[in-house]
Amino acid sequence: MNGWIGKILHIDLTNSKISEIETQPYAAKYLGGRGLASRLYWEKVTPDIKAFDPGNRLLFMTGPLLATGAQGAARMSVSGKSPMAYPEGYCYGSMGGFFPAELKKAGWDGIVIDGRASKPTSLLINDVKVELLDASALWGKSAYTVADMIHREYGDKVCFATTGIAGENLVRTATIFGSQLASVTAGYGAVMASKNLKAIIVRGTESVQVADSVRLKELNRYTIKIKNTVSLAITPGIGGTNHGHVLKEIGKRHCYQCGLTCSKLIYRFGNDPNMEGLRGCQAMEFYLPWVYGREDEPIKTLYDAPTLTNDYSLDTFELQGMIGWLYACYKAGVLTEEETGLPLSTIGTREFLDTLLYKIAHREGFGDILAEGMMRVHDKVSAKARALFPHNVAAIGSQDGVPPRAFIAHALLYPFETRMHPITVHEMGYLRMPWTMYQADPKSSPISPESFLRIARLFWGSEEAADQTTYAGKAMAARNIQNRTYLRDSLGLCDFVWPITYSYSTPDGVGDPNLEGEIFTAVTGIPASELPQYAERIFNMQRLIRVREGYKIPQDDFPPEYNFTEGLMVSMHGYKMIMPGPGAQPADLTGNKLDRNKFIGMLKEYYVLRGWDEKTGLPTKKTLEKLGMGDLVGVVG
Amino acid sequence: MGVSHIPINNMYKSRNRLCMEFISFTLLFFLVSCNPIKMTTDSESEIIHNYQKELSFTVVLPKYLPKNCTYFGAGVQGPPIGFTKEWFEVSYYDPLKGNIHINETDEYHELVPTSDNYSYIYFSSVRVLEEELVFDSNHVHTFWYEWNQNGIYFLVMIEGQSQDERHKLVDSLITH
Repeated sequence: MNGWIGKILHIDLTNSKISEIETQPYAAKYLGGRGLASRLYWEKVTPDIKAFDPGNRLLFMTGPLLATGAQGAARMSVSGKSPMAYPEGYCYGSMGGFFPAELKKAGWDGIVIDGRASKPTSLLINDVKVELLDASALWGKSAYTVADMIHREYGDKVCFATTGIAGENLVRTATIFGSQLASVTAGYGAVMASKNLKAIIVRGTESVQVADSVRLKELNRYTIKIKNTVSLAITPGIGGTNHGHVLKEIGKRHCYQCGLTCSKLIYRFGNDPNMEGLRGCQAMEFYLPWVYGREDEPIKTLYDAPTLTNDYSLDTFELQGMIGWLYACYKAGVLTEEETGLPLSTIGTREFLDTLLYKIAHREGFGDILAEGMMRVHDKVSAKARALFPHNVAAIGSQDGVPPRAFIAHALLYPFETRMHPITVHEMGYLRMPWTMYQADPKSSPISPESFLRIARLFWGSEEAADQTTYAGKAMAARNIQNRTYLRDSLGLCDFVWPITYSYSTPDGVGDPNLEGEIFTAVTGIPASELPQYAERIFNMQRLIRVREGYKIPQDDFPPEYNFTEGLMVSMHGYKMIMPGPGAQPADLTGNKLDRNKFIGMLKEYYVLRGWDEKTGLPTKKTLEKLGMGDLVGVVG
Repeated sequence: MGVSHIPINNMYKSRNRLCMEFISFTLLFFLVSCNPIKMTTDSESEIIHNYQKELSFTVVLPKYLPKNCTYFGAGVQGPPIGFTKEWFEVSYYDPLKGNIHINETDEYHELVPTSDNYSYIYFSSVRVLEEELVFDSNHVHTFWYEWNQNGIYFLVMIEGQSQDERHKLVDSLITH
């Protein structure tokens, strides 16, 4: 099996049983990663099983491109019933770094973890030798301490995945923390701990077989060349506070075998050699003292914030929204220090962060409510406090980053995803930046309106999809984006890299919509023409899982009501929402609302494109049989 | 829809204002958009310093730089070609560190050509694979050089420049 190892490790913690699952029967239909995991989830995790029940499955699943040398292919899907989802349900996270590749090099396409151990346990994978070990010494330890203990015991070359105190205390938002600061959202740290599984330690020394390594090498060269996109020297949250000067990039990091640059950088904080470290993306700026008027707060607070959070294994996305909400509540007099036991008057300081993290991770006082996650906090506080909640658009609480009122196709992307932040919204979101730059200065970006239209045609199915003032072409755009995303998650590809929609290295600025398929063929020998069928199968599998778990059609296919009733606001700095309009020329969408009738029309069009019944919104018998999923006909709905 | 079409000049008064628009649009939008970072030359020595801490060999930089080129991280930044400023990049694989890869991209580290447009050239006694890659679909055109020296795998990408300049640059990376 070029690209796949051929076997999945199956751990039954209840009975301390280690066995194998053959990959091929699943991969033949669901590829790997998120796709393969969804089918394994479907087979075992019925709606009556709760996230912390032994019956829940924790699935670590790699894809066929991982560890083959393919660029931007170091990701692994982690899924199971999520305690963070509201209500609890199927969800997924993603892990990068070196752990996923190490697992595959050890001879496993993935790990399926069932049951619950009778005592703290760790899973040691040393190539094909697999052991369950007593982890009593690791229990009660924070994530970094566990990492140190693992490396002392097994050496520097092993990779690990663990969870800290928050996981052990079943905080619904607890993360899995892994080698090279990788982490997994959706509360799977708590699921891991609920199974009494404290750590997975892996060392792999084998290689993955590739069908055409010479072609893959050529495609890698091409990928490196055209993956040349917009750059930012610092993350925007920090830049937006005009404190970017406190950071200096002094290096960069990569996931396994990846030669591309992303947001994983090494920074020096405050020009202090004692404050240097790997940081990246949202995690490095989730707690900015200056946002709360703390101009005098030592820079060390910013430097330490992600480390403190990782150590407890808490979710920075969740915390960012939560702290902002607490601040708003405190300022409005809706929550007090007395009733919360939190030093709300000191938000922005190290003291506040320390207290907040401790109380959540230990479920102490008001921290016990916050440990339930923002979606559940919403139901446990006063109406006045609820009124200050940020808008949420998915079953895991977070603000809508790339709003449907500005990106019409996103009205179909948010509802169909189980997690926040849904990565399906990145494809259009990414592209707006170079388009905007071109509008300001054509010398700064190759994405002219003409290039934008060409990209829309190639990637989203029509030039109309580029125009955010109309609903035309958006159903197909949403379908295409979803399919590409699901394939990416199932192949092991990275969201930071794929798809390459635009490039500073091509004459017209247009990227390559076929590149992932060509790499897939080089690695597996399977024609790329089969990928759309895989994508449809995986997407339908998720649809059936969600319906089985209580998802209501069509109402749950709608974005939240405020999208139809509240105009899109100007930015926090008062600037207009400028988006591509007719001909990809600028249009002002400030104040825009979704039109309900047009949305319903778009949704119906989408159902037809998916091969779903226009009334029930479910895959038709014909569609399922065409996809080779005849065994699922009539099982839901 | 509340949509109007306005001249772009009315939207942005300055580049700074545009940047603020970017930043403020949504937090999440940008968190996922902060892709390759173009580092300034004044941090170049620190980048090398940081690499060096993790590698078992001394980071090698070209001793020869064509006109209008400067060091840039572990590579060179040269005369812009279109929107591209980085026309040269060197990657390393450190076998002694096992899982540490510095821009390294290949699993097998073998000097295997991927197309017909290749030749093996020698600088002193070091055999270098020179390959010209052209991707017609996007008109992307690059030269690649690969070699092994002292157990280290080198991979160099060069865009543009004459053959003489490319060879001088590669030669200056090789320890004679």
